[in-house]
Amino acid sequence: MNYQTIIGLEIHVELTTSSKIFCGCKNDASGKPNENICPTCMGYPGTLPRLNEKVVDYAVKAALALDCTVRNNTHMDRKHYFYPDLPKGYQITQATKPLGINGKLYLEKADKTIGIQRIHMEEDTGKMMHRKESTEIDYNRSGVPLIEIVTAPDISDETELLEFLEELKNLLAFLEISDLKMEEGSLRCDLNINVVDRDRGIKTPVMEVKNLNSFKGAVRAALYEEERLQEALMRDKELLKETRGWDQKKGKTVTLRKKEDSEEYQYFIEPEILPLQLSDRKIQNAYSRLRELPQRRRNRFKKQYGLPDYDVRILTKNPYVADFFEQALLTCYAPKRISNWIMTQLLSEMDRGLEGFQDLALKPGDFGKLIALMEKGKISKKIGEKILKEILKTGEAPEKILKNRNLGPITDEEEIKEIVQDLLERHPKALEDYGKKPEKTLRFFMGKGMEKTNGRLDPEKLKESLVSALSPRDTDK
Amino acid sequence: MESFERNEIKNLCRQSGLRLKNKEITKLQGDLKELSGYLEKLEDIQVPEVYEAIEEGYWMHKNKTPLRKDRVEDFEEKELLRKNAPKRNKNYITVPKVIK
Amino acid sequence: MDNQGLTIQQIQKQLTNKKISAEELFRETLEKIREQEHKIGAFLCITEEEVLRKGRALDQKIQKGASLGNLEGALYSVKDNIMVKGQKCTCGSDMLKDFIAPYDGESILEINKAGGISLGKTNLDEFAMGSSTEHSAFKVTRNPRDYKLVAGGSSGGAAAAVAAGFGQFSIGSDTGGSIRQPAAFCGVLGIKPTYGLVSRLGLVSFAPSMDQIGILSGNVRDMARVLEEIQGPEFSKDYTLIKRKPTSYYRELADFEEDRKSRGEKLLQGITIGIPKEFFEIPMEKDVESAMDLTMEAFKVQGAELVSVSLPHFRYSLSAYHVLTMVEAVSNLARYDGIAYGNQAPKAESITELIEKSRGQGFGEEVKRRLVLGNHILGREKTSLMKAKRVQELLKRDFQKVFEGADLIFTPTTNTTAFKPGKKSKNPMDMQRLDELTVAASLTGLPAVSVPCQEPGKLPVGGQLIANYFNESELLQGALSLETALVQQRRDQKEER
Repeated sequence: MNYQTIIGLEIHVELTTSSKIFCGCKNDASGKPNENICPTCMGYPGTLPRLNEKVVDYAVKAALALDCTVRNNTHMDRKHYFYPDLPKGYQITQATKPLGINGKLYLEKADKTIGIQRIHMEEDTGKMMHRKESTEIDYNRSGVPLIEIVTAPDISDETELLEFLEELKNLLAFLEISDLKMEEGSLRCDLNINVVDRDRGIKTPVMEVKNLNSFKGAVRAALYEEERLQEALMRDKELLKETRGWDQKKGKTVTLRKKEDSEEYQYFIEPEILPLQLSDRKIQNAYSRLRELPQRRRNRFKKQYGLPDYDVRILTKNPYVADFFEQALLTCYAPKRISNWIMTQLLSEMDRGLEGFQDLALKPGDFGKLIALMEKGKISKKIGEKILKEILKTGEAPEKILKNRNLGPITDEEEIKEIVQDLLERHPKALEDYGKKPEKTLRFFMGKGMEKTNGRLDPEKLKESLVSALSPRDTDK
Repeated sequence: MESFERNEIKNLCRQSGLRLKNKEITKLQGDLKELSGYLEKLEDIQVPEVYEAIEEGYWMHKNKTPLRKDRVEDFEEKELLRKNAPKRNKNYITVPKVIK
Repeated sequence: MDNQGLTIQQIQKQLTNKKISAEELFRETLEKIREQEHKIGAFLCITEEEVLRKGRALDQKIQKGASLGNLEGALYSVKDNIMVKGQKCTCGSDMLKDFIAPYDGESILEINKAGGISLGKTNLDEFAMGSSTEHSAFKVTRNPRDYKLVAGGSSGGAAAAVAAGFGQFSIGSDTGGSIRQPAAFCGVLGIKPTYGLVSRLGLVSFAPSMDQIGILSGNVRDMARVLEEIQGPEFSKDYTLIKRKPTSYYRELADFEEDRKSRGEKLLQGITIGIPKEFFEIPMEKDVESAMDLTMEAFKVQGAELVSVSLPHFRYSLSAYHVLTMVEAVSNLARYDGIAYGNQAPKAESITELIEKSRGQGFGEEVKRRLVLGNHILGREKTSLMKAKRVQELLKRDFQKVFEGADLIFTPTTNTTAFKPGKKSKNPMDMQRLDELTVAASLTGLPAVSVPCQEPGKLPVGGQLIANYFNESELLQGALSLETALVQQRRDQKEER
C-alpha cells in the first residue's frame, strides 16, 4: 500500500501592537470582559475602520522573513457570515490580494523546503464562552490584529510538521511581533490534511482539523487523522470533506461541521479602506531592518564559533539569548565555555528559562568578565558559580564581588603555609596515617583545605605546600 | 427571466439571514421580474476580463489609505455599549447556547 | 413675531440687538411644532427641554457680550440615521427601535461646536431605502405644502421640518437622491456635497460608496453657512475623507454677490449651463415641465448661456444604481443580528434561528426585498455587478466631457410632484423611478443641489444643479443666482399684473 499524506497549514498569529487593527482600543484580549471595546470593534452602525500602521509593518516583516514577495498595491476585503462573535456580520481580511505571496521556509533536519502560499492581515473575532444554558460573548478580542500564514500542502509527515512549527515559531520570535503562545491563543494552527493512495490513484477529500492547542497536539492530531483517512481508503469508505475538531482528552478528531460545496462568503472589496500602497523603497527599508534571522544565525554560529548543533539550537531559540551570547564573547572570546555556562549555570538560575533573557539584569559584559576570570585561572569553577549567584542578586561587577566578598584566590605562600599548619594540627590521626597511605592522606588534606577556604586555595599551590609540610616529617623519622 | 423558484428564495433568505413568512416569500418570487428589468438594461455594457481593471475604479477618488498611529485611544462610554445589548449577564453579552 | 424665513444671519442680528431672546425664539419654534407636527409627522423624537436649556445658556452668553459661533441661534433637526449621542437612533426601523447612540457623528460634533442646537430626530424610510418615508416602520411624513401628499424620501422628515419652519436647517443623508428629492417635493433646498467632502462617521450607511451627509435649508446662504462647518477633515477620524484645505463657502458666496453687484454684472454672467437632453426626454408631469421652462428663462435673464449637452450613459444609471446599492446593502446590513445591539427575537432554539428571526421580524418589507435581491446578484450575477461598476466609470467620463464646456449642469430633480401615499408604494419599480434623475450625481460622486423653482400656489418642483468635484462654491453661486432670479421673476410678474 503506497499511501502518501499531504498536509498544509493555516496559521494565525496574534500581533502585539498596542492598539487593535481598525480602532484605538487596547490590544488585550484578556482581562475583564467587554472592557477593551468601542463602537468600531463592536460593529456599531456608523463606524469606520482605521488601519493601524504597525500592523502593516509587522505583516511586511513576517512576509519578508518568510521570503515572500510583498505586493506594492493591496487592499482589504469583506468576508461575510453570521455568527455571534462577528459583530459586523463580516470580517475584514485580505482574500484576493494578500500582502505577501510565494514565500518559503527551509527545514534543516528534513532538508526540505515548505512553500508559503500567502500571508495577509485580518481582524480577530470576539470570544464565546459556552455555559450551561447560554453562551457568553466577550468582544475584547474583536478587532485584535492577526496575520494569517497559509502553507502549500508540502508537509508529508509528523516529523516535518513538528519541525515546521518549531522553525516557524523560532523565526517569528526573532521578529518580535507576537507572544507566540499556542496555549494562550496567540499562535493558532489549523491542519488541512488528506491521504492519497498512489497505487490506485484515489484520494480522500481534504479534512480541516482545528482546536489544536500545542505542537504536540498538532502532531497527535495529524497522526490520528492520517490513520483515520488511510483506513477509509483501505475499506473503500466514502468520506465527505469536513471540518473536524481535535479532542485532546479523547485523543481523536470529531466532526464540527460538514462543508457544503460553496462556502458562500460573498467576498467583496472593503470600500471603507482605501488602497494600501507600499513602495519598493519602503519594502527594501523594512527588509534591511530585519535582524539576522535564526537559520542564518545558526549557520554562522556553527561555522564561526565551531559550536555543536545542540548548543546552537538553544543559543538561537530567541534573539535575546543569541544577542547575549555574542555580546559576552566581546569581553571574553571563549565560545564553548560561555555557551556551556549559559546553558547550564546561568539558565538554571532563571525561573523563566530562555524567555528571561529578554529583560535580564545581568550585563553580557559582566558575564564575559566572569568567564574570563575562570579562563585565566584566577578563580575556580566553584567560585565562579558563587560569584554568578551574587551578580544575579546584586548586579555588581564580578571583580567587585571578588574583592568584597573575599572570594579571591589565596596565593600568598605564607598564608598557605599557615593554613596547612593549622590543618595538620587539627587532624593528628590523619597525619599519622600519612606514612601508611600517603596518597589518601594527601587527598584528605586537599579536600579539607579547599573546604576550609571555600575553594579559594589554588589547588596546585596547596598540594605543593602540603607535600613540603608533610615530607619533612617523613624524613624526620 | 421567469420568477424565482420557491427553493431559490428560501436559499437566498438563508444567505441573507432572514426568516420570512410564506406570503412574504410568495411576494418576493414576483420581484425577480423587476430585478431582471434592471439587469437587462445593463446587458450591452462591455466589461474587461481582468479583475484589476474593476479594482482601479472601485473607489470614488484616487487616494491611498492614510494609516493610524499605533496608540491606545480609550472609548470612555463602555457602559453605553453594554447597555444596548438585548441580553446580558453582568459584563458579558449572552445568546442561547450555540453548540449542543 | 414671525421668524419664518429669516436667515441665520438675521436671527443672530435679532439676538445680539436684543430684539428677542434665544429662549423666546426657541419657544416660538417649539410652539409651531406643537401646533402643526401632528399633521405632518416630521419628527421621531423632539428634545424640547434641552432646546430651552441651551436657549437660556445662549442668552447668558449674549448678555456677557461674547461673540456668537457661526450657527449659534439656529435650530436644526437630524435625520434619524445619524448618531446623536444619548438619543435613540432608530433608522426608521423596528430593528433599532430601542437603540441608543453611544457617540456623536462628526457632522453633529462640528455643528454643535459652531453653536447649532438640535430639535430632535426626523423620520425616514427604513435604513434610508425608499423615496417617500412610506417605508418607515413608524409613520409616514406628510408634505407641509399639502398634507394629503407625501414629503418624499428617504429624508422626508428632514425636508418637511425645514418646509414647515421647524428650525433653520436639517442634516440628512443622500444616497441616490434622498435629500434632493424630498427637498424638491417640499419646496426647500437640499444639497448632496461631493463624495468625500463631509465625514460619514456617525451616518448609518447602507451604500458606502455613494452615501453622503447633506443639508436641507430654506435659503442658500444658510446652506453655505452650514456646509462650511460640516466639511472635513476637521477631526480626521474618517480616513475616507479627501484631505483638502477648508473652504469659506459663506464668505465666498457673499463676496460673489458683492462682486457682481459692484461691477453691475448679472449674477450668471459668463456662466455656461449645460442642459443634458437625456434628462428631459423622460416622461414628465406638466407642472414640472412648466417649472423647467420658467427656470431656464430665469437663467437667461440672469445672463447665463444655456447649451444643449449629452450624457449618453444616463439610460443605464438607474439600473446601475440599484444593482450596486442592493449589493452594498447586503453587506452593510449584515451587522444587524440582534446580538450586541438591536432587537432580538424573543424565542429561538439555535443561533441561526435567533439571527434569522431577529432580522426577519426587525426589518421591513422593502429592506428584506433588497437584501434578497442583493444576495441574488452577489451569487449569480457577478457580471452584472461589474457592468454596474463600469457604468459608473462611463458616466464619470460623460460628465467630465460636459464640464469641459459648461460650468454647471441643470436638470429637473424629479419628473413628478409629491403624490398621495400608497400611489407608488404598490409597485416598487414605480417608487424607484423617482430617483431616476438624481442617481447620476450619486454614482459619480458629484455635488448636486435641488432648488425650488415652481411658481407659488402650485405644488413644489425642484430644479437640480450639478457641479464638478469640490466645486460647491460654484454650485452655491448657481443656486443663489437661481433663488434670486426666481424671486425677481415673481416680482416682475406681479408688477406686470
